[in-house]
Amino acid sequence: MNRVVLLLVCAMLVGAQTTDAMSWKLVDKPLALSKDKKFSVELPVGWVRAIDDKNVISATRDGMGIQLISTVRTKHRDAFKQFETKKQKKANAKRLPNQKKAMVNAQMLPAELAELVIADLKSGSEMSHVRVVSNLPLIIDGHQGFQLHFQYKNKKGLQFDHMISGFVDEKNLYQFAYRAPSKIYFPRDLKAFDKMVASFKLEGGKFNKKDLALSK
Amino acid sequence: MRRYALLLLPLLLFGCKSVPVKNFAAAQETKKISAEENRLWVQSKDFDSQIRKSDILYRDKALNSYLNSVMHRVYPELADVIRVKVIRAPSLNAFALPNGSIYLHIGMLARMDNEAQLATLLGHEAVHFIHKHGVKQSRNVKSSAAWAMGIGMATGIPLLGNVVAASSITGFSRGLERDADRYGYEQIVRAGYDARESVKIFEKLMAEVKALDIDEPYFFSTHPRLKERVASFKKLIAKADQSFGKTGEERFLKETAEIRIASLKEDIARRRYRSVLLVLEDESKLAKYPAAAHFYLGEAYRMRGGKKDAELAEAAYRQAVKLEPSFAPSYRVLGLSCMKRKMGKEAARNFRNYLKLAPEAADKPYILGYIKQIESEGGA
Repeated sequence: MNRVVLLLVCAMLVGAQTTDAMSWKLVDKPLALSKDKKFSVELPVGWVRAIDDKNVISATRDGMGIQLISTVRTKHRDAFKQFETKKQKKANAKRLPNQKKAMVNAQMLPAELAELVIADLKSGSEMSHVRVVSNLPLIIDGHQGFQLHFQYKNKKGLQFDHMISGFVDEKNLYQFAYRAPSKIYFPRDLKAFDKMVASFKLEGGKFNKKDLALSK
Repeated sequence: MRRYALLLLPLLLFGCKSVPVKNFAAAQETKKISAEENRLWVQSKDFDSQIRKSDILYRDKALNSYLNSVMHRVYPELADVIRVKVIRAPSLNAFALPNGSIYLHIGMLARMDNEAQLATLLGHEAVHFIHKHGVKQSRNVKSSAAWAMGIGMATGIPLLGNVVAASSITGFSRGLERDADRYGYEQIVRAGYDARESVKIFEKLMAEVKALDIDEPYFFSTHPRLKERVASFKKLIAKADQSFGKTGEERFLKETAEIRIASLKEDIARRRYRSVLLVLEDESKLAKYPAAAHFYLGEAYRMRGGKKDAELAEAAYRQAVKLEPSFAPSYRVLGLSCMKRKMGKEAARNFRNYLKLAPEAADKPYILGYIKQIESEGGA
């Protein structure tokens, strides 16, 4: 899993053990809204899902080690911070929050964004030897984005398939991740991931009262 | 934790006895190892197997054959037992396991200038195996455990739980490292290499570590350790007579051309652009690289993103196209650069060249999309 996504999901799951509000719940209605109601996705009915305060929505059917689909929103200035040099970090520390220079901006081409995601994956140890299977453009909720498919083996030699889609808007980076063992699970649950990405909606009058009621 | 405890217990027990450790003098002696050694060999084999399974081995028969031929020259009596392998990681690392497996990271290989430097490193690592430093080190249970826990997964190698591998990777005690310097040095002199090169590789690593402020676990793990290597080799060179052997630069550069480019590629893929700049901004070094290196230099400038870096990047890409017109990635980045500057016609021409040279490129759909966009805007 993308390290940024993984960190956020882990933080959320730790929280989930201590806070009722963040606990896993059975998905009985597909629509899932982010905590701040700024975006929504559809999740497969019958899976379990968790939504946290940090704008992460995750779901699994058989457990996180088997398959996990997630949607994560990150502010530009918080994305891929590990690539900042010490000099850049120092300079950013002196700037006002809205003037900090970020690795990500709204003008980035999807291919450039995908390049950052690959660099992020490769600089983690477990997935440092990922093989990119495909890197395609993808329209997500009307935004130009990317879809990366890659494979890697964990330290026990088990092969995983991993998809990450994403796009940037004026303020945020949105990423959608799916990871599962290559045999059986990945092809089986790929449709659930595709459906989640295709169903993504940003705020801006797209939610109606019925949607909001359904997601509660 | 339980696995650690099980691994450490026998080491602790053996640590109580002080059975003298005898060096390997010939290949057949490796077939008669003690139970204590056998345990370390089993762990080493397990580590070898993990490396094999995890897809991080750089599989290149010609390169492996070359590296092992250098090893053969340095240690002919044990060459059949020692196996040199390459790991596809851009970090500065090299290590020997107690069973004679020696691993070099491509980043380490790419930093060398000639065969004499390679022989220095291989000779040093081979001493760790021949003098059974793994056994000696494993008796120091506290140190081994600390190393194993300390390095975690940051090396990019799946070694959690493997104390032997952990201690091999992060280095042995100061005394054992000095031992490896001295005996390794004797072997490279005997093999006819220019021993003055021995210190250069460590000086270069030290300069890189200092310049880039590297804090990852790697060969000799810390700056003071590298300083010790430099001092140790300088002492050995000072004692030597003045008839120095060959550097083997030509053969080394030929045999490692691909791997040096592979190392640049891995560095850029991880956004380690400062390492690339440190190597390739030196024109004398750049000249020794295949022409594609200009492309990676351009990529490093682009990633740095300073005031004049866009111009520097484009100049480097154009140089790559000039020197190696069949290298597809240069056209792709030139296309992107032109597109961003609203030079539609040139962007489309570069994109088309890219797809002509790389018709199966993973990012083909993006490129086709860009060409379509330029055409629709009337730029092509």
